[in-house]
Amino acid sequence: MEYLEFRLMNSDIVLAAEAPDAEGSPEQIQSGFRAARKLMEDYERRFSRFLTDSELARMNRSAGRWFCASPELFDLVRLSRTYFYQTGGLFDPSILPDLKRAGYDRSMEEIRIYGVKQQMMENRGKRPSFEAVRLEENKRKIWLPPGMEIDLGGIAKGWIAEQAARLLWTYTSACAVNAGGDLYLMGIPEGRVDWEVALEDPRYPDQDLAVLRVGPGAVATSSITKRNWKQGNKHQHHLIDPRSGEPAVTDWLSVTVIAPQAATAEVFAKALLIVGSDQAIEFLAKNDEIAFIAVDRQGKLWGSPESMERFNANPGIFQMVV
Amino acid sequence: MRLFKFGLRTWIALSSVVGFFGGWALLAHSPKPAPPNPQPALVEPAPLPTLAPIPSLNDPNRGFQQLPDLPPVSFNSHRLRTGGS
Repeated sequence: MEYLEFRLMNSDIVLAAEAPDAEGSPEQIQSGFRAARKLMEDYERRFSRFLTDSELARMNRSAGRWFCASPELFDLVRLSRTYFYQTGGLFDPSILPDLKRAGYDRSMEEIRIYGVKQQMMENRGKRPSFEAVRLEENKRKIWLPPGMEIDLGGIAKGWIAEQAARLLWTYTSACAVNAGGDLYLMGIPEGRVDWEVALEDPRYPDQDLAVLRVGPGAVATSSITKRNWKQGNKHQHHLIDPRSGEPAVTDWLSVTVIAPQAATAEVFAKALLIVGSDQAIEFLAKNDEIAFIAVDRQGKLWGSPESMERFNANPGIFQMVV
Repeated sequence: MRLFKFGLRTWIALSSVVGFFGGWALLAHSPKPAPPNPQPALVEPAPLPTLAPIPSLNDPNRGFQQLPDLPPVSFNSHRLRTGGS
């Protein structure tokens, strides 16, 4: 394997590609890395809510009017609407005002350096529902209701990882893109039967709890221990429960999902983390292509009955969620 | 006195002229120098000193040891970690 590591989207990015065989050219892998990195950098510039000239920021400023979107932004908003309905509204990109109210109004790197800019404890105002977003397929036009701002942070990173992996795959026989814990894996490394992905301990980020063995597809983790801060006397984190507009109260610290698509894995990891152990199985009843592992506050692993098989995990590491 | 000066000048002039032409005639009749030889003289090169052979890296008497073959670098799973962001 050859690797390229860099920072992007306020996350550590790792590109991995199968080293060329005897007939292959090492330069080919490097070309693939350059192309994939350039693609990711381009998407970050377009879909970041922290860049005032990004396409997403321009769309948010055009709320109340029709906005002509690029094919990629249109695809992301359309996907978001699909997941909004699939998760019963637990995935909702229009919670941005709640996220800002909780203090996440700047990039996490700025918050870690300067702290939360100001107390934003005012009551949650009435805001339009994401259901009100209108899409015009033929002209790729998007209409946001007046006052709506959307944040693609809950879906774009995985989506970008998948696009980059698909591009990188044209240069190699097996590759992976890891965007801050959202992975997309393509092919199988030579001489192996699966990929190995370390599951980070959400309590101690320098340690791993287990090594998951997974096939091609997506792996994504959502956690409440990574992007958190103090606002007044309150400990806040970035995972907003759309039902309350506040950071989610959950008995799990992180949830890892495997799914065929990166966006699916990322979205359902967030939704499962919000619902917690009480409703997880019921929530996934209609999604048999998804398996998950949750980590509780004691570091115990929990999963659906299918998860052990899907993650090829050693018997005994799981507690079944029933 | 004037006569003495005239005689002295005459003597110096004549002796210079006679000395110049006398030297000319002497050189004109002297043997010619040998022309330079275009063929350089062959010099036998000095023999190079014979050095002792350099010891092999595998020579156990030299202090080096050949490293055992390292196992191939295996796939480092910890570069692919998932832990949320």
